[in-house]
Amino acid sequence: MLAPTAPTSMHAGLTLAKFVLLEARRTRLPVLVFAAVIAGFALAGFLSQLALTESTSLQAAVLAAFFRVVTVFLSAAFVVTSMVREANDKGTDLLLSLPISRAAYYLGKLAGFGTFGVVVAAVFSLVLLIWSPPSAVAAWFVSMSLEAWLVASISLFFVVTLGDVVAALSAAAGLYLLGRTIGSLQSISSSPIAIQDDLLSKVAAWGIDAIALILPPLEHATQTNWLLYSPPQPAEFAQIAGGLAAYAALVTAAGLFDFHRRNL
Amino acid sequence: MTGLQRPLGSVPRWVAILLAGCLTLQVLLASRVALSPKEAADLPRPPRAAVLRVAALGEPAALARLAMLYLQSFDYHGTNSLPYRRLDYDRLVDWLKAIQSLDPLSKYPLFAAASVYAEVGDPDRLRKMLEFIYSAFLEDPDRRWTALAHATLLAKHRLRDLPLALKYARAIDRTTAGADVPLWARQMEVFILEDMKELEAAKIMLGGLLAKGQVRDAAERQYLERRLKAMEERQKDAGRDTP
Repeated sequence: MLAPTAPTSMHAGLTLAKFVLLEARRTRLPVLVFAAVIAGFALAGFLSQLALTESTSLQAAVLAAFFRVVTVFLSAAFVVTSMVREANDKGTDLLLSLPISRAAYYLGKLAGFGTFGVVVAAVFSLVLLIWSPPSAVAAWFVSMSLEAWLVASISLFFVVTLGDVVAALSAAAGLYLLGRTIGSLQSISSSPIAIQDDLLSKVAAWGIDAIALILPPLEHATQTNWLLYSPPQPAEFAQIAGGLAAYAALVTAAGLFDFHRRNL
Repeated sequence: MTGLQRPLGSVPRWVAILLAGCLTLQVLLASRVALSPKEAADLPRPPRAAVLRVAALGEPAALARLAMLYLQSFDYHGTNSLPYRRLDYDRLVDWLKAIQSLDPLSKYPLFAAASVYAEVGDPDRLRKMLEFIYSAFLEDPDRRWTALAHATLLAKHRLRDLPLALKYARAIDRTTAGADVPLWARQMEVFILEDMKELEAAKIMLGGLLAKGQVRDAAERQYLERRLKAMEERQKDAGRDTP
């Protein structure tokens, strides 16, 4: 009889990802996604009744913005609560006592959480096809998937580092919102009306520029304008997608670094 | 899930009474709150465009449309026979400018300016709207000419300011270069100079817009058709009143 062999890192990671998706299904996240679709329809339908013009684009814009928030919130909340629950149940300790490397564990979990975000983005994209052309929705879907993956990696990093639901969710939300608004903040700080030409103002503007260097490039990602007017140019889209992927890789590397140093 | 819960009887009676009492109190209080319609004086100053952009959290197109619905709600309610007439139009123009800057491709602010806020029957207010439309048109003539075409008719028939109407008509002709600007729009100067009635001119414009597929939105089409009908009825009444 052959002795059982240790699973490869790849197999272990894939199995973990599969269990993350199973957990998503059993914690009734699909019901929440369905409820979001119904709520989105109701909200968009109600608002379009009030519009004098652009009723179709109003529906598409409100739905896209709503779906984006829901995808990001569900992804972050799922990652944080699942990891904290597993840590409290000593599931993490148990899994790492098996012949599974820390990297395989971390990346397997991230693959599962990221795939969940992609599935949610796909469901919402199918709904948006009612109002927008397929090419625009395709660009929105790819960008939303990358954004969801990025949010999953940020949330995983914070929950592994901070180990607490409220702290991790707050940190992830703060980084995400700052990433989405930093471009506007930079333009305000460089506005000649808003800023007086003194040293303090210059330091503030430099500070904002410096913070912008380490923030996720979310300002131009998943734009509702693509659905309303025209999809992005390939070069522009490649730059946005590349930026999101690069930042997700950075956060994943930082998370792996921290996770390997942790004394569990 | 039900297996995890204890029977209803295990809840102390005072907790159940407290819950029922609080629920009744909440419903009573909520039903007494009268919804007060937003009056004209309630319209606040608009935030700076840059602040609005930050508040949009990366969704300027959605916020621009929601802001338009918010703006529409001021001075418009069931007891108001002349909606928007009491609004501070300087403030209103600032709002429209801020919303337009949030999503420069949206036609909503200019449509509302030309078809809603310009309809108040007050020459000063109408002039302010026309000025806003003209300045917005100059920023992007090929995309915003329909609003200025509306404005041209309003200047001629409502303000009876022929030089102003001609200025607008000539601006459409001289500054637009897009292929989708129809001939009738470029030749507005001709039918401004002709002794054409407002209804007739409006019919040419709306017919032209509909024929070219430039009014794709169902709500907008319905609104414009309703306006045309109201114009027809106004003219019929005026014909009856004239001996």
